[in-house]
Amino acid sequence: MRCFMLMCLMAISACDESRSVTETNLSVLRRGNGAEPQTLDPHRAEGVPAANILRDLYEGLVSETPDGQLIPGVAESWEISANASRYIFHLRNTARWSNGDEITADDFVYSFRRSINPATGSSYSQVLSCIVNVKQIIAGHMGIEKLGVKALDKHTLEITLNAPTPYFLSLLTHSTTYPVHRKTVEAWHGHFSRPDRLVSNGAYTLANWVVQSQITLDKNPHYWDASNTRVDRVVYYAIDDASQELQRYWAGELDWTESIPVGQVDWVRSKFGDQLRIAPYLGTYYYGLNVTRAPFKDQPELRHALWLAIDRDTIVSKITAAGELPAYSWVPPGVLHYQVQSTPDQNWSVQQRLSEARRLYRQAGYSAEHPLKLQLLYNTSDNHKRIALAVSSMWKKALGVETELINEEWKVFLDHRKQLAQTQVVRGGWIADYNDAWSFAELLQSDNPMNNSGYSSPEYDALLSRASTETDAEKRQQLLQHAERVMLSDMPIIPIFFYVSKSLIKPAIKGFESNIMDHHYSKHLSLDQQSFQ
Amino acid sequence: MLLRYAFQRLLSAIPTLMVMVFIAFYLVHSAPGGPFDTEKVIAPEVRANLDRLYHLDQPLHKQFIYYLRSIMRGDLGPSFRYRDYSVNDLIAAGFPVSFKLGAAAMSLAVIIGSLLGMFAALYRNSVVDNTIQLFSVTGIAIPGFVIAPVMILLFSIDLKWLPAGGWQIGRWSDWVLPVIALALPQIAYIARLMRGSMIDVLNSVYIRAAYAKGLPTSLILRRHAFKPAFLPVLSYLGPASAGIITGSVVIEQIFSIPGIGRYFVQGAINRDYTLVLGVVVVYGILVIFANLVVDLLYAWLDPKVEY
Repeated sequence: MRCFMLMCLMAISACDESRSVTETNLSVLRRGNGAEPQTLDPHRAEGVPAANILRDLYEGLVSETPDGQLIPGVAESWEISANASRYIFHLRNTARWSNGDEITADDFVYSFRRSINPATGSSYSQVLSCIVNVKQIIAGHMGIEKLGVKALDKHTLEITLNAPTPYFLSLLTHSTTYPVHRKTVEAWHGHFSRPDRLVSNGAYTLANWVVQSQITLDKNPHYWDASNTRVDRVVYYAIDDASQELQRYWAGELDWTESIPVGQVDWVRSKFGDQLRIAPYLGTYYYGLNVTRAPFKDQPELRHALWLAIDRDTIVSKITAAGELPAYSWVPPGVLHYQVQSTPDQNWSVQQRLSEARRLYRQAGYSAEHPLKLQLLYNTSDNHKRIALAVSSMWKKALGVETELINEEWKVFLDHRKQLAQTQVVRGGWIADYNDAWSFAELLQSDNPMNNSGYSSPEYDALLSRASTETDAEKRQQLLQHAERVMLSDMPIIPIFFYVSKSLIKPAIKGFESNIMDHHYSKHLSLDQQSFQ
Repeated sequence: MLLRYAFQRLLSAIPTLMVMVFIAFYLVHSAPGGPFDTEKVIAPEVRANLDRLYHLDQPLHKQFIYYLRSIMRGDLGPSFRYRDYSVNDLIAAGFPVSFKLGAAAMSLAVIIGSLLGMFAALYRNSVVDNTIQLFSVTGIAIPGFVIAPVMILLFSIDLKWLPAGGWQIGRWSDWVLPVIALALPQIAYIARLMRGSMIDVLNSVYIRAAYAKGLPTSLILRRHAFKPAFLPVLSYLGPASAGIITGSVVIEQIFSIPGIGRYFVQGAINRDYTLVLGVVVVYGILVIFANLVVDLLYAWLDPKVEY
C-alpha cells in the first residue's frame, strides 16, 4: 500500500515536471480577461473580453500599432476615391489562414456578407450601416448579394459606402469585419469556434478552451508576420471578479490584469508602483434623466439644477480615484477630428454652481417644504453604489432632493432601463466601439434603441442626419459639435466622468503602450525572461 | 430484495425529477430579462431570428414541452450563451471537475471528521476534546466564502505555497485549497456527530463486556465500536452530499474552477436557461442517487435494517 502511494506521488510529480520543462522554453503570456467570452466567432462575439482574444486570433484589413495608430493588416495598401465613398484594398499575397490556405478577396466578401446576414445573429451588424445597402439587408428588404463589398480580383477588394465615413478605416479593426474561413464555417454549420475546429488568420491560433477557466492561444506559424511574433503562447483567464484577479496577480499567477478593484487604486499603487498602468479610455459614465415622464418631462430647469449640484471633482478624486476626468460633456477628449464641447458652468466656482442650482430648483417649483422625490436606478455593484450615494447626498445637501436608491441585477436593470416606463434617473456608461464622435452622438437620436433618456429633439436628429451625409470632413465635425451643444443645452443626461483603463502589468512585458481604445495585440509584445526569473 | 428496493427507488425518482425540472423551468423563465438582452440592443430582425432559433418566440408551455422532449432523448439543448457548445458538451467538461472536487472533499470530510470525532469521544472533556469541539463549532459557524479568501491570503499570497485559483490538468496543487475549503464545514459537522454517537456506543453494555474480557482499546474500537458509531454519520452523508454540492457552487466561483457549480452561477446571471436547467437535472440526479446509496449502505452496516 505504501509502495503504491509512493509510486502515485512520483507519477504526479513526474507529470508536473515534464509540463514545466516544456513550458520554460516557451514564452508564455498570462492575461486576466474578465468575463468568459460567449463565442470566438468574430461575427457573433460581444464585449471587451471576446474582443481582446479576437484581436490575437484574427486580422482584419487594417490593424493597429501598440499606441493605436492604424496600419495595414491583411490589406497591404488601399486607395480611397475622390468622393471618399469608395475604398479599394490590395490584399497581401503572403496572407494565409492557420491551415495554410491563401486568404483571398472572396473570403472577405463571404465574411462581410455573413456578418451582416440577419441569420447569423450578429448583435453588432448595425455598426456597418455605413456600407451600401447594409440597412436594407438587415431589415430583410434586400438580398445579401446586393451588399457594397465586391472582389475585383483575387487580391483586390472594393467597399462602397453610402457617404464619406471618416471612421471607416478604424471600424475595420472591429471584429465584425474580420474574415472567417468559409469551408470551416460551412462544415460546422456556423458552430466553428472550438479548439479542434477554428481556423483563424491572425498571429495566433486557438489551442485550448476550458469554458469558465482559460483560453490558450498558440503562435500561428502561417501568419504572414510570424517571424516578428515573439510571444509563443497567450493564456487568457476568465476571472470576472477584480479582487480575485488581483489576488492571482499578487500570487504571481498572472502577468497582466484586466482591471483593478474599485477603491483600491491607492493601495495597489503603493504596493505595485509602476506596474499599475492608468490611461484615458474612450468612455463616459453618466446618469440618464427620463425626459418622457415626470418629474423631468418639460422641466429643463430641474434637469439643469441637478446637473449643477453634482460636484464631479469630489467624485473623481474621492470615489473613483484612478485619474478619471470630471465630465461636463458627452463626447470624451481624445476622439479624433473632434473638439470637446462643454457647458458654461465647467469653469464656475462651487458657490456659483450651487446658487444657480438653487435658483433653478426654485424656479422649477420645488422648495424645502415641497422637495423633489426621486428614484435613482443603477445595476448592482459597489462602485455604482458609492457614486449613487455621493450624488444623492450632493443633491440632498445642495437642494434638499430626497433620492431613493434602487439597485437591480444586470438583466433586470437592462429591461427596466429600456422600457422607460418606471425609471427617473438611471445609470449609464458608454464605451465607444470605434474612435469617432458618431459612436457617442448616435446614442441620443430619437429612434436609437439605446437612447435610455427618451430624448427626442428634431433639431438634434436633423443635425445628425446632415452629418451622416456630409462629404466635407470639416463641416461634418462642425455639425456633430453643434449637435452636441444642442443636446447639452437640453440636458437629457448628466455626464459624470470620463473613464480610464486600469491594469497591472509585469515589468517583464515589453512593448506595451497605453492607447485610448485600450486595444492591445499580443503580437506586439515580448517577454523579458530574465526579469521573470 | 435489495435490488427490488433499489429499482423501486429509482422509478420513484423519475416523477421527483420531472417536478424539479418543471419548477426550475418556470423559475428561471420568470426572471426578468432574457439571454439575448445586452447593453447593445440588437436589430429587431436579428433578434427575431435568434428567438426563432431557440424557440423563444413560442409560448412558455410549448417551450417546456420542447425541453422535456429533448431531455427525454438525453439532449440538454444548446447553450444560450456559449453559442458553439451544447449543454451536454459543457456538462461533460465541467462535471468531472466538480465530481473530483466533491468526491475529494467528501472523502476528506468523512475520514478526518470521523477520526476527530472518535478521538474527542475517547478523550472526552480533556484538552483534546475541547480543542476538537472548538474547531467543530467554528467550522460550522464560518461559511466557506469567508474561509476560502483567508486561506488564499495566507497560503497563496503570503507564503506562496499554493495557487490562488485556477484549475490546470495535472497540477495537483490546484486542488488543495478548494478541497479543504469545501470539506471544512463537513469535517466539523461529522466530527460532532461522530463524537456523540461514539460516546453512546462506548457507554453501552457490550463494549463494557469487551473491556471486561480484557480486549485492547484499539481492537474494541475497530471491531465493535466503529460500525455502530458510524451509522448516524452515514445517514448524514445524504444531506452532506447536498451540502457539498451547494458549497461547491460558491467554492468553484471563488477559485475560478471550471466545474458545473460555476456554470450554475454564471448561467443564472446570463439567463442561460438550458445551462441552468441542465445543471439542475444533473444535481438532482446526483442527490437522489447519493441518498439511495446511503440507504443501501445502511442496510449493509446495520443488520437491524431490512428492505
